[in-house]
Amino acid sequence: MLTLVLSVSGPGDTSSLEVDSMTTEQSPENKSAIDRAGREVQDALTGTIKGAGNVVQAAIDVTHDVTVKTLNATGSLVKETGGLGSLLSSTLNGAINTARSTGANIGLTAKGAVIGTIQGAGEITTVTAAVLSDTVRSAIKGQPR
Amino acid sequence: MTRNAVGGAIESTMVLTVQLEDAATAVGAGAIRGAREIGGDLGSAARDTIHGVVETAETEGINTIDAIRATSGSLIAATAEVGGDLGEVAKATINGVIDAGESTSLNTIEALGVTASSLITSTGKVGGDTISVARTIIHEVVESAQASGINTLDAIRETARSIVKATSDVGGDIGTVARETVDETISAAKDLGLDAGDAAKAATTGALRGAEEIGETTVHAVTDTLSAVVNGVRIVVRGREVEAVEEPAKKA
Repeated sequence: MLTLVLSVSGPGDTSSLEVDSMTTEQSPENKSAIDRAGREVQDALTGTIKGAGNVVQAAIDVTHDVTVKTLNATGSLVKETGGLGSLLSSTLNGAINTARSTGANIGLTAKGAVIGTIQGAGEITTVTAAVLSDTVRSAIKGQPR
Repeated sequence: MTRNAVGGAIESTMVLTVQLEDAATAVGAGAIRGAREIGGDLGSAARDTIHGVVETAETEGINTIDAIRATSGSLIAATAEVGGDLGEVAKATINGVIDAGESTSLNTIEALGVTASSLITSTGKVGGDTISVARTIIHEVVESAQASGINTLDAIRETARSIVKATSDVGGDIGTVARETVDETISAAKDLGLDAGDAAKAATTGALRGAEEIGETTVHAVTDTLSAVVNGVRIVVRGREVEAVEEPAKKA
Protein backbone atom coordinates (compact mmCIF):
# COMPACT_ATOMS: atom_id res chain seq x y z
CA MET A 1 0.00 0.00 0.00
CA LEU A 2 1.33 3.42 -0.88
CA THR A 3 0.85 6.13 1.68
CA LEU A 4 1.67 9.75 1.25
CA VAL A 5 0.48 12.18 3.84
CA LEU A 6 0.83 15.82 2.99
CA SER A 7 -0.17 18.25 5.65
CA VAL A 8 0.84 21.74 4.67
CA SER A 9 -1.49 24.37 6.02
CA GLY A 10 -2.45 25.83 2.65
CA PRO A 11 -1.28 26.17 -0.93
CA GLY A 12 2.05 27.91 -0.99
CA ASP A 13 2.57 27.68 2.74
CA THR A 14 5.95 26.09 3.38
CA SER A 15 5.96 26.52 7.14
CA SER A 16 5.37 22.84 7.86
CA LEU A 17 7.93 21.55 5.40
CA GLU A 18 10.97 21.70 7.63
CA VAL A 19 12.92 18.50 8.03
CA ASP A 20 16.21 18.04 9.77
CA SER A 21 17.64 15.12 7.87
CA MET A 22 20.77 17.10 7.11
CA THR A 23 21.62 17.74 10.73
CA THR A 24 20.37 14.74 12.66
CA GLU A 25 22.70 11.87 13.48
CA GLN A 26 21.35 8.39 12.92
CA SER A 27 22.26 5.38 15.05
CA PRO A 28 25.46 3.65 13.82
CA GLU A 29 23.60 0.67 12.36
CA ASN A 30 21.10 2.85 10.53
CA LYS A 31 23.80 5.20 9.30
CA SER A 32 25.60 2.19 7.93
CA ALA A 33 22.41 1.01 6.20
CA ILE A 34 21.89 4.46 4.70
CA ASP A 35 25.44 4.59 3.33
CA ARG A 36 25.09 1.05 2.01
CA ALA A 37 21.88 1.96 0.20
CA GLY A 38 23.68 4.68 -1.73
CA ARG A 39 26.42 2.26 -2.74
CA GLU A 40 23.91 -0.41 -3.73
CA VAL A 41 22.12 2.03 -6.01
CA GLN A 42 25.43 3.01 -7.52
CA ASP A 43 26.51 -0.61 -8.07
CA ALA A 44 23.20 -1.74 -9.52
CA LEU A 45 22.78 1.27 -11.78
CA THR A 46 26.35 1.23 -13.08
CA GLY A 47 25.70 -2.13 -14.70
CA THR A 48 22.37 -1.22 -16.23
CA ILE A 49 22.07 2.47 -16.94
CA LYS A 50 24.57 2.80 -19.76
CA GLY A 51 22.82 0.37 -22.06
CA ALA A 52 19.37 1.14 -20.79
CA GLY A 53 16.93 2.25 -23.44
CA ASN A 54 14.89 4.01 -20.78
CA VAL A 55 17.12 5.74 -18.26
CA VAL A 56 14.18 7.00 -16.19
CA GLN A 57 12.73 3.51 -15.77
CA ALA A 58 16.13 2.02 -14.94
CA ALA A 59 16.61 4.58 -12.19
CA ILE A 60 13.07 4.07 -10.90
CA ASP A 61 13.53 0.30 -10.67
CA VAL A 62 16.87 0.39 -8.87
CA THR A 63 16.10 3.16 -6.39
CA HIS A 64 12.67 1.73 -5.65
CA ASP A 65 14.05 -1.73 -4.89
CA VAL A 66 16.92 -0.46 -2.75
CA THR A 67 14.64 1.88 -0.79
CA VAL A 68 12.11 -0.87 -0.08
CA LYS A 69 14.80 -3.37 0.84
CA THR A 70 16.57 -0.95 3.19
CA LEU A 71 13.39 0.13 4.94
CA ASN A 72 12.29 -3.48 5.38
CA ALA A 73 15.66 -4.41 6.84
CA THR A 74 15.91 -1.46 9.23
CA GLY A 75 12.59 -1.04 10.94
CA SER A 76 13.90 1.63 13.30
CA LEU A 77 15.17 3.88 10.50
CA VAL A 78 11.88 5.61 9.83
CA LYS A 79 11.35 6.21 13.54
CA GLU A 80 14.55 8.23 13.85
CA THR A 81 14.19 11.91 13.19
CA GLY A 82 15.48 12.59 9.69
CA GLY A 83 16.14 8.90 9.04
CA LEU A 84 13.89 8.60 6.01
CA GLY A 85 15.14 11.86 4.56
CA SER A 86 18.74 10.70 4.91
CA LEU A 87 17.97 7.40 3.20
CA LEU A 88 16.25 9.11 0.27
CA SER A 89 19.15 11.53 0.01
CA SER A 90 21.62 8.64 -0.07
CA THR A 91 19.80 6.71 -2.80
CA LEU A 92 19.39 9.87 -4.88
CA ASN A 93 23.05 10.72 -4.58
CA GLY A 94 23.96 7.16 -5.54
CA ALA A 95 21.90 7.46 -8.70
CA ILE A 96 23.19 10.91 -9.62
CA ASN A 97 26.81 9.90 -9.00
CA THR A 98 26.31 6.91 -11.28
CA ALA A 99 24.90 9.08 -14.03
CA ARG A 100 27.85 11.41 -13.65
CA SER A 101 30.46 8.65 -13.80
CA THR A 102 28.86 6.72 -16.67
CA GLY A 103 27.91 9.71 -18.78
CA ALA A 104 24.19 8.92 -18.57
CA ASN A 105 21.66 11.77 -18.67
CA ILE A 106 21.79 13.24 -15.16
CA GLY A 107 18.44 15.00 -15.35
CA LEU A 108 16.55 11.88 -16.45
CA THR A 109 18.38 9.76 -13.91
CA ALA A 110 17.45 12.20 -11.16
CA LYS A 111 13.83 12.15 -12.30
CA GLY A 112 13.71 8.37 -12.14
CA ALA A 113 15.51 8.31 -8.81
CA VAL A 114 13.06 10.80 -7.27
CA ILE A 115 10.11 8.73 -8.48
CA GLY A 116 11.64 5.44 -7.38
CA THR A 117 12.66 6.57 -3.90
CA ILE A 118 9.37 8.29 -3.10
CA GLN A 119 7.28 5.42 -4.37
CA GLY A 120 9.49 2.87 -2.63
CA ALA A 121 9.26 4.75 0.65
CA GLY A 122 5.50 5.11 0.20
CA GLU A 123 5.13 1.32 0.08
CA ILE A 124 6.68 0.91 3.51
CA THR A 125 5.88 4.02 5.47
CA THR A 126 4.18 7.38 5.43
CA VAL A 127 5.83 9.92 3.20
CA THR A 128 5.19 13.43 4.46
CA ALA A 129 5.24 16.69 2.54
CA ALA A 130 8.47 17.52 4.31
CA VAL A 131 10.12 14.38 2.97
CA LEU A 132 8.84 15.09 -0.53
CA SER A 133 10.27 18.59 -0.32
CA ASP A 134 13.55 17.26 1.02
CA THR A 135 13.81 14.73 -1.78
CA VAL A 136 13.70 17.47 -4.40
CA ARG A 137 16.17 19.47 -2.35
CA SER A 138 18.55 16.48 -2.19
CA ALA A 139 18.30 15.86 -5.92
CA ILE A 140 19.18 19.47 -6.67
CA LYS A 141 22.04 19.40 -4.20
CA GLY A 142 23.41 16.32 -5.93
CA GLN A 143 23.64 17.95 -9.35
CA PRO A 144 27.00 18.94 -10.81
CA ARG A 145 27.98 22.52 -10.13
CA MET B 1 18.06 18.92 -13.69
CA THR B 2 15.72 20.90 -11.42
CA ARG B 3 12.92 20.52 -13.95
CA ASN B 4 13.41 16.74 -14.01
CA ALA B 5 13.62 16.37 -10.24
CA VAL B 6 10.49 18.48 -9.75
CA GLY B 7 8.69 16.58 -12.49
CA GLY B 8 9.67 13.29 -10.90
CA ALA B 9 8.37 14.36 -7.51
CA ILE B 10 5.05 15.50 -8.91
CA GLU B 11 4.75 12.39 -11.05
CA SER B 12 5.57 10.08 -8.16
CA THR B 13 2.69 11.44 -6.14
CA MET B 14 0.18 10.67 -8.86
CA VAL B 15 -0.12 7.02 -7.85
CA LEU B 16 -0.77 8.06 -4.28
CA THR B 17 -3.73 9.73 -2.66
CA VAL B 18 -2.42 13.23 -2.41
CA GLN B 19 -3.50 16.81 -2.77
CA LEU B 20 -1.75 18.19 -5.81
CA GLU B 21 -1.47 21.63 -4.24
CA ASP B 22 0.41 20.18 -1.29
CA ALA B 23 2.81 18.27 -3.52
CA ALA B 24 3.45 21.37 -5.62
CA THR B 25 4.06 23.41 -2.49
CA ALA B 26 6.55 20.83 -1.26
CA VAL B 27 8.56 20.64 -4.47
CA GLY B 28 8.72 24.42 -4.82
CA ALA B 29 10.16 24.74 -1.34
CA GLY B 30 12.58 21.87 -1.92
CA ALA B 31 13.86 23.37 -5.14
CA ILE B 32 14.57 26.77 -3.62
CA ARG B 33 16.22 25.31 -0.52
CA GLY B 34 18.35 22.98 -2.62
CA ALA B 35 19.43 25.79 -4.94
CA ARG B 36 20.36 28.01 -1.99
CA GLU B 37 22.40 25.25 -0.35
CA ILE B 38 24.57 24.76 -3.43
CA GLY B 39 24.91 28.51 -3.95
CA GLY B 40 22.81 28.25 -7.09
CA ASP B 41 20.70 30.88 -8.80
CA LEU B 42 17.27 31.04 -7.14
CA GLY B 43 15.76 32.59 -10.25
CA SER B 44 16.85 29.66 -12.40
CA ALA B 45 15.54 27.23 -9.80
CA ALA B 46 12.18 28.99 -9.77
CA ARG B 47 11.95 29.10 -13.57
CA ASP B 48 12.83 25.40 -13.91
CA THR B 49 10.51 24.42 -11.08
CA ILE B 50 7.43 26.09 -12.48
CA HIS B 51 8.25 24.76 -15.93
CA GLY B 52 8.66 21.22 -14.60
CA VAL B 53 5.42 21.43 -12.67
CA VAL B 54 3.46 22.67 -15.70
CA GLU B 55 4.90 20.00 -18.01
CA THR B 56 4.30 17.19 -15.55
CA ALA B 57 0.82 18.37 -14.62
CA GLU B 58 -0.13 18.40 -18.26
CA THR B 59 1.43 15.01 -18.96
CA GLU B 60 -0.29 13.47 -15.96
CA GLY B 61 -3.62 15.13 -16.74
CA ILE B 62 -3.85 17.03 -13.48
CA ASN B 63 -5.05 20.57 -12.82
CA THR B 64 -2.22 22.73 -14.10
CA ILE B 65 -3.67 26.00 -12.81
CA ASP B 66 -3.95 24.68 -9.24
CA ALA B 67 -0.39 23.36 -9.47
CA ILE B 68 0.88 26.74 -10.67
CA ARG B 69 -0.92 28.56 -7.87
CA ALA B 70 0.61 26.36 -5.17
CA THR B 71 4.09 26.27 -6.67
CA SER B 72 4.33 30.03 -7.21
CA GLY B 73 3.37 30.71 -3.62
CA SER B 74 5.83 28.21 -2.23
CA LEU B 75 8.67 29.58 -4.36
CA ILE B 76 8.19 33.01 -2.77
CA ALA B 77 7.72 31.61 0.74
CA ALA B 78 10.87 29.50 0.48
CA THR B 79 12.83 32.39 -1.02
CA ALA B 80 11.91 34.57 1.95
CA GLU B 81 12.91 31.75 4.27
CA VAL B 82 16.43 31.50 2.76
CA GLY B 83 16.83 35.30 2.55
CA GLY B 84 16.66 35.46 -1.24
CA ASP B 85 15.48 38.21 -3.57
CA LEU B 86 11.68 37.99 -3.92
CA GLY B 87 11.67 40.15 -7.05
CA GLU B 88 14.21 37.93 -8.79
CA VAL B 89 12.16 34.81 -8.07
CA ALA B 90 8.86 36.49 -9.01
CA LYS B 91 10.34 37.61 -12.32
CA ALA B 92 11.74 34.14 -13.08
CA THR B 93 8.46 32.48 -12.15
CA ILE B 94 6.51 34.66 -14.58
CA ASN B 95 9.12 33.97 -17.24
CA GLY B 96 8.87 30.23 -16.55
CA VAL B 97 5.10 30.24 -16.94
CA ILE B 98 5.29 32.02 -20.29
CA ASP B 99 8.10 29.71 -21.36
CA ALA B 100 6.09 26.63 -20.37
CA GLY B 101 3.11 27.97 -22.28
CA GLU B 102 5.13 27.75 -25.47
CA SER B 103 5.68 23.99 -25.15
CA THR B 104 2.35 22.96 -23.62
CA SER B 105 -1.34 23.64 -24.14
CA LEU B 106 -1.41 25.91 -21.10
CA ASN B 107 -3.82 28.85 -21.18
CA THR B 108 -1.01 31.32 -20.63
CA ILE B 109 -3.18 34.36 -19.98
CA GLU B 110 -5.14 32.62 -17.25
CA ALA B 111 -1.92 31.14 -15.86
CA LEU B 112 -0.32 34.57 -15.66
CA GLY B 113 -3.23 35.87 -13.62
CA VAL B 114 -3.05 32.97 -11.21
CA THR B 115 0.72 33.24 -10.93
CA ALA B 116 0.68 36.99 -10.30
CA SER B 117 -2.02 36.55 -7.68
CA SER B 118 -0.12 33.81 -5.88
CA LEU B 119 3.18 35.71 -6.01
CA ILE B 120 1.60 38.85 -4.53
CA THR B 121 -0.34 36.97 -1.88
CA SER B 122 2.70 35.02 -0.78
CA THR B 123 4.85 38.16 -0.78
CA GLY B 124 2.32 39.86 1.47
CA LYS B 125 2.21 36.88 3.80
CA VAL B 126 5.99 36.86 4.30
CA GLY B 127 6.03 40.62 4.88
CA GLY B 128 7.70 41.42 1.57
CA ASP B 129 7.32 44.56 -0.54
CA THR B 130 4.21 43.83 -2.61
CA ILE B 131 4.48 47.09 -4.57
CA SER B 132 8.01 46.33 -5.71
CA VAL B 133 7.11 42.75 -6.60
CA ALA B 134 4.02 43.96 -8.49
CA ARG B 135 6.20 46.27 -10.59
CA THR B 136 8.61 43.42 -11.31
CA ILE B 137 5.77 41.09 -12.29
CA ILE B 138 4.07 43.45 -14.72
CA HIS B 139 7.38 44.47 -16.30
CA GLU B 140 8.29 40.84 -16.91
CA VAL B 141 4.81 40.10 -18.27
CA VAL B 142 5.14 42.87 -20.86
CA GLU B 143 8.65 41.82 -21.88
CA SER B 144 8.11 38.05 -21.96
CA ALA B 145 4.65 38.22 -23.53
CA GLN B 146 5.96 40.44 -26.29
CA ALA B 147 8.93 38.13 -26.89
CA SER B 148 6.84 34.95 -26.92
CA GLY B 149 4.13 36.25 -29.19
CA ILE B 150 1.15 35.89 -26.85
CA ASN B 151 -1.37 38.75 -26.75
CA THR B 152 0.51 41.32 -24.70
CA LEU B 153 -2.50 43.53 -23.96
CA ASP B 154 -4.56 40.57 -22.74
CA ALA B 155 -1.62 39.51 -20.57
CA ILE B 156 -1.32 43.02 -19.10
CA ARG B 157 -5.06 43.26 -18.38
CA GLU B 158 -5.27 39.90 -16.63
CA THR B 159 -2.08 40.42 -14.64
CA ALA B 160 -3.07 43.92 -13.49
CA ARG B 161 -6.48 42.61 -12.44
CA SER B 162 -4.89 39.82 -10.41
CA ILE B 163 -2.32 42.11 -8.79
CA VAL B 164 -5.01 44.51 -7.54
CA LYS B 165 -7.27 41.74 -6.26
CA ALA B 166 -4.41 39.89 -4.54
CA THR B 167 -3.14 43.10 -2.94
CA SER B 168 -6.58 43.56 -1.44
CA ASP B 169 -6.53 39.99 -0.16
CA VAL B 170 -3.37 40.67 1.85
CA GLY B 171 -4.54 44.09 3.08
CA GLY B 172 -2.20 46.12 0.89
CA ASP B 173 -2.61 49.65 -0.48
CA ILE B 174 -4.75 49.13 -3.58
CA GLY B 175 -4.53 52.68 -4.91
CA THR B 176 -0.76 52.64 -4.76
CA VAL B 177 -0.38 49.20 -6.31
CA ALA B 178 -2.79 50.13 -9.12
CA ARG B 179 -0.87 53.30 -9.95
CA GLU B 180 2.54 51.64 -9.68
CA THR B 181 1.40 48.76 -11.89
CA VAL B 182 0.17 51.14 -14.59
CA ASP B 183 3.33 53.24 -14.25
CA GLU B 184 5.60 50.20 -14.69
CA THR B 185 3.53 48.89 -17.59
CA ILE B 186 4.09 52.17 -19.38
CA SER B 187 7.82 52.04 -18.67
CA ALA B 188 8.08 48.51 -20.03
CA ALA B 189 6.07 49.41 -23.12
CA LYS B 190 8.28 52.43 -23.82
CA ASP B 191 11.41 50.30 -23.36
CA LEU B 192 10.13 47.87 -25.98
CA GLY B 193 8.88 50.52 -28.38
CA LEU B 194 5.22 49.53 -27.87
CA ASP B 195 2.31 51.97 -27.84
CA ALA B 196 2.39 53.30 -24.27
CA GLY B 197 -1.23 54.46 -24.51
CA ASP B 198 -2.50 50.99 -25.43
CA ALA B 199 -0.44 49.40 -22.66
CA ALA B 200 -1.66 51.95 -20.10
CA LYS B 201 -5.27 51.40 -21.18
CA ALA B 202 -4.90 47.62 -20.76
CA ALA B 203 -3.30 47.98 -17.32
CA THR B 204 -5.91 50.50 -16.16
CA THR B 205 -8.77 48.35 -17.43
CA GLY B 206 -7.31 45.35 -15.62
CA ALA B 207 -6.81 47.30 -12.39
CA LEU B 208 -10.43 48.49 -12.53
CA ARG B 209 -11.66 44.92 -13.07
CA GLY B 210 -9.71 43.86 -10.02
CA ALA B 211 -11.24 46.76 -8.08
CA GLU B 212 -14.73 45.73 -9.20
CA GLU B 213 -14.17 42.33 -7.61
CA ILE B 214 -13.44 44.07 -4.31
CA GLY B 215 -16.24 46.63 -4.18
CA GLU B 216 -17.69 49.94 -5.30
CA THR B 217 -15.59 52.03 -2.92
CA THR B 218 -12.41 50.49 -4.30
CA VAL B 219 -13.54 51.18 -7.86
CA HIS B 220 -13.95 54.86 -6.99
CA ALA B 221 -10.56 54.97 -5.26
CA VAL B 222 -8.76 53.32 -8.19
CA THR B 223 -10.61 55.51 -10.70
CA ASP B 224 -9.54 58.63 -8.82
CA THR B 225 -5.95 57.43 -8.54
CA LEU B 226 -5.59 56.50 -12.19
CA SER B 227 -7.43 59.48 -13.71
CA ALA B 228 -4.25 61.44 -14.16
CA VAL B 229 -1.10 61.73 -16.19
CA VAL B 230 0.88 58.61 -15.30
CA ASN B 231 4.42 58.29 -16.59
CA GLY B 232 3.69 60.61 -19.54
CA VAL B 233 0.34 59.04 -20.45
CA ARG B 234 -2.94 60.92 -19.87
CA ILE B 235 -5.51 58.47 -18.53
CA VAL B 236 -9.21 59.27 -18.44
CA VAL B 237 -11.67 56.88 -16.79
CA ARG B 238 -15.43 57.35 -17.40
CA GLY B 239 -17.35 54.52 -15.84
CA ARG B 240 -16.04 51.40 -17.54
CA GLU B 241 -14.51 53.33 -20.42
CA VAL B 242 -10.80 54.05 -20.33
CA GLU B 243 -8.86 56.36 -22.61
CA ALA B 244 -5.12 56.59 -22.46
CA VAL B 245 -3.04 58.77 -24.74
CA GLU B 246 0.67 59.43 -24.56
CA GLU B 247 1.36 63.11 -23.93
CA PRO B 248 3.43 64.90 -26.55
CA ALA B 249 7.05 65.16 -25.51
CA LYS B 250 7.81 68.55 -23.97
CA LYS B 251 10.17 70.78 -25.87
CA ALA B 252 13.45 71.36 -24.14
